[in-house]
Amino acid sequence: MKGENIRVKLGRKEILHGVDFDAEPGKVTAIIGPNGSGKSTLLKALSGEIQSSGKVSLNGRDISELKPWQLAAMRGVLPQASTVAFPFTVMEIVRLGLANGLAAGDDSLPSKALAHVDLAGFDDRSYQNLSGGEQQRVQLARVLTQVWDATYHDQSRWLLLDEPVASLDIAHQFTVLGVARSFATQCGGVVVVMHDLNLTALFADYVYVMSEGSVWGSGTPTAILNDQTMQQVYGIDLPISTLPSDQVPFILPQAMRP
Amino acid sequence: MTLAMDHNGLNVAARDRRVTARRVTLALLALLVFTSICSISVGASDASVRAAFADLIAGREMSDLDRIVLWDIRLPRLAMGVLVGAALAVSGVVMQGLFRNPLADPGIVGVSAGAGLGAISAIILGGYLPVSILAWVGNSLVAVAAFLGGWISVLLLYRVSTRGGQTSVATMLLAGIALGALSGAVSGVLVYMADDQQLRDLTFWGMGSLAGATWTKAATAAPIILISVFVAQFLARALNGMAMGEAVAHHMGIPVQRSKNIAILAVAGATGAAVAVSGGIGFIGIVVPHLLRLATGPDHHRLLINSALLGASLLLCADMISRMIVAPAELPIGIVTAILGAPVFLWILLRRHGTMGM
Repeated sequence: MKGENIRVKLGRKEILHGVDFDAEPGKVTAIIGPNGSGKSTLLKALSGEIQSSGKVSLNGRDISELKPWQLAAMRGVLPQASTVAFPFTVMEIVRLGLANGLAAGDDSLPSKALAHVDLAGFDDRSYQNLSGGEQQRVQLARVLTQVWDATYHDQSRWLLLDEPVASLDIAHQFTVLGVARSFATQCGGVVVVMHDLNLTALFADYVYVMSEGSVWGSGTPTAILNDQTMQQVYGIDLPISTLPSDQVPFILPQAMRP
Repeated sequence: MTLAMDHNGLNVAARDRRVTARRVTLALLALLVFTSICSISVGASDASVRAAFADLIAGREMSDLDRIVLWDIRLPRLAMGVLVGAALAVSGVVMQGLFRNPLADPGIVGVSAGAGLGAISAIILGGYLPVSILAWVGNSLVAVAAFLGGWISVLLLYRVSTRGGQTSVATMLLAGIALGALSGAVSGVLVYMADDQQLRDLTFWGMGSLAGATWTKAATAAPIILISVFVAQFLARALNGMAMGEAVAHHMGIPVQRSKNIAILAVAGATGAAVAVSGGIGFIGIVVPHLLRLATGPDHHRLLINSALLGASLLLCADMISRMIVAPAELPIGIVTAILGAPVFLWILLRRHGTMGM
């Protein structure tokens, strides 16, 4: 997935000022940055949800030239939060992914997807009565159903996730990021907007740091998550440590200097 | 292992709602046949279907009176009841899917009023149109004008109440009130300009009733309603997706803009044609989909066809009540549907208040 010189205007204000973006299949690419830095807008431009100038290509094809159903066969998108207008059950929601994906014949996928997000047995529950975190996982199961196989005819498929763990407890944060991880291991591509820097360091292969509508920098978590980033992008004086064993950076809020 | 079995058990239960919906379709078909037979059997005259069949079997000639009552009064009324009931119910489903909430109904949010304004304009101003256009549209002038009025109303309503793919329920209802009032006011002005003959046409039309049913009227409305209801059946997938928001629908591969345009045209066609031949009949579009969602869930694949069937049956029932309750006079059918429907509307409002904000 490649984005070249992406510019997005909402009203008169330019939100993204010419972003170049590159994500490889088989890897988890994270987008981080402070609130309002344009992370979600970038993801929306990459998914084709909003119009942008510049060029976004998916598996070498310009997404502006693809029909909605062609795009849907290549990538699934998980938005931040989804309200559902009518009293659908969990299974009916997940099955919507089935009806629109390429694997429309395989009726066993929705159950498998629900088991993947630790919601086995929730089939008949009403979506509207679930907690925010459970709803988020149902939506992920729907997206997984849509792009079940990480590759299709030797082409990678993509998961675009907008803050997938924001409303989850710590155990399910691992569950969901583990799902993303294994999708990448099977040669699918994953682009994920993240807030939690520790989880980013743990799960991402490559990190884009957004600041004020531009890419401030990018690199592997080890390279990009450092004291300087914290200072210049987030404006706080918080030292980043690394675990000596495997060089994964971690952040301890308690280490915040007064 | 236990988990897997539980899992399968629930899976079967989940599938059951789809099976139920399919069975409901058959039951509703049977119900429609039954209500249709009732509908042509009852009325102010003694003419009965049984007698007519007896005559037919015995090889006797039907009496002229019986033939007129059955063939020229009750059958066209039946045909129009079925068409209008199906049209109103399907309009309700499609509008509710489009606006993402169960309170959208052509009658409540001013679409019927807009279609009514179109119809009234056609009745009163139709005479000023060039003869060539009149010759071209002929009898369907009122229906076409009602369709245009309904179409403009849905477009305006959608523009006002939907921002970035999300519809505000409060804005939609308020905008609907304003639209309805505006259409009503302009209609009022037009009525002042009407001459005697036109006033008679208007009263006849505005009663919100199937009383004026003729074969001509049924034939005018039939193509528009049948096409709209047929086209609406193909919107199921799009409406299901849009229930989660337009962005999600787009991600799932649904051509959102095109689906919305088709949905708006289908609503305008069905509502417009229904209003053109029967005036404003409210609440069918809100009661029918609501009952069916309670029974078989919100999946639009069966909801659309089931709504058409139940809407037709319900309107026939309402029509029978309106004919029988003050016989030999008739209560306008709009009164009957409002008495049945308004409490349902309030009930939905009450329940929504508990679960989600406006």
